Amino acid sequence: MTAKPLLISALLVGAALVAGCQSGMSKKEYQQRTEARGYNTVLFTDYDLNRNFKDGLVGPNKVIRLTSTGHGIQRTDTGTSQVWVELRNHTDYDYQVEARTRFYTEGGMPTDADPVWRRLTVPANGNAVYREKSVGTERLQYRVEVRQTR
Amino acid sequence: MTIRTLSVAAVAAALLAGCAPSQVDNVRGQATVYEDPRSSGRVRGVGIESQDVVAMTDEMMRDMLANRILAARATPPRIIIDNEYFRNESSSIINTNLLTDRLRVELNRAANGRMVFVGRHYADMVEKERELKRDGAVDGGTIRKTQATAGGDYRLGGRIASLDAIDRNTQTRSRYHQVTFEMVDLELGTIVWSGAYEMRKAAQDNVLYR
Repeated sequence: MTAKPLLISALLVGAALVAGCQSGMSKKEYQQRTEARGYNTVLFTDYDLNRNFKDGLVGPNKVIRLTSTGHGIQRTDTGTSQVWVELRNHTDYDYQVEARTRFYTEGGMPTDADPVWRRLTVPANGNAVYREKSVGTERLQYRVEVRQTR
Repeated sequence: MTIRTLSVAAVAAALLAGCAPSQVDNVRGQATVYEDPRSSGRVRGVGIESQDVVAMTDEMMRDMLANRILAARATPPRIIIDNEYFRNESSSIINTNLLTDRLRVELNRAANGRMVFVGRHYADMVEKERELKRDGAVDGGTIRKTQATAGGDYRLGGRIASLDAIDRNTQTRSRYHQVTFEMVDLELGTIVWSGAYEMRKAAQDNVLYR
């Protein structure tokens, strides 16, 4: 008589455990996919380019193909802003990537012309510089997105 | 007997074939799919495509707005952007208005008064209305009267050139495009701003551009 409730409990616990394990996303990857994106940053929207995707128990815990070695913003002669990002390729292969910049006011409001993807080639084990100009003359913040060429 | 059997079989086969109904391929059609004109679409070849038009005009627009002669004058310069002097000398089929129209529209919106655009491609329209006003067929409107329409300070010129190559073994085609944009001083004839957009594409797909 006592065997039946025991069996049901065991099944329930088992189901809960299986459901808990079903999430294929590690805690680290979840954090990376949901973390707040700050201003004046470079984001690799293709996670295959630069990603922390496992906690380290199974498989590699970090994939780095490209990194940003530096980025910044400066004013042009007419008062518009120019963003620059230097990308470094850590692989033995040329990488075709696309980058775009969204500009924000100092208050964080998206402004300026709509961003457009711009292609650039980062040579194997080399560096390349991406540049983008704003159309407005106010002080701006930026967020640069980098992905592999579609 | 064999001939008889064969005949019966042939007649049966003919009847069966005759009974086969006409078929309608009753499947759902391919719905029209909207694609982002800023990214490569499902049909892609070696020619100039929407993402190229968007990327090159956007780059030229931003670059012109960073040029002191064009975008930082106390009196905004009058600029003409149309395809009158923008030639396609490449092997790609493209309506050059796609480039010049997008450039003018985006630049006009972004310049916000830093440049004034002369609609020279609408000159006929303006002249007809001015004639009607001067003849007294219509009244003078509410804005103002001017001696003449606006003259331009700078005008866009440029060309699209290409270099093709084909691998006869793999039938892979490669096309290099060089698109130049130049702003010419309409009094002196000097070039006050230049921009170039380069790209090379390779593909095996047999894409037809129209």
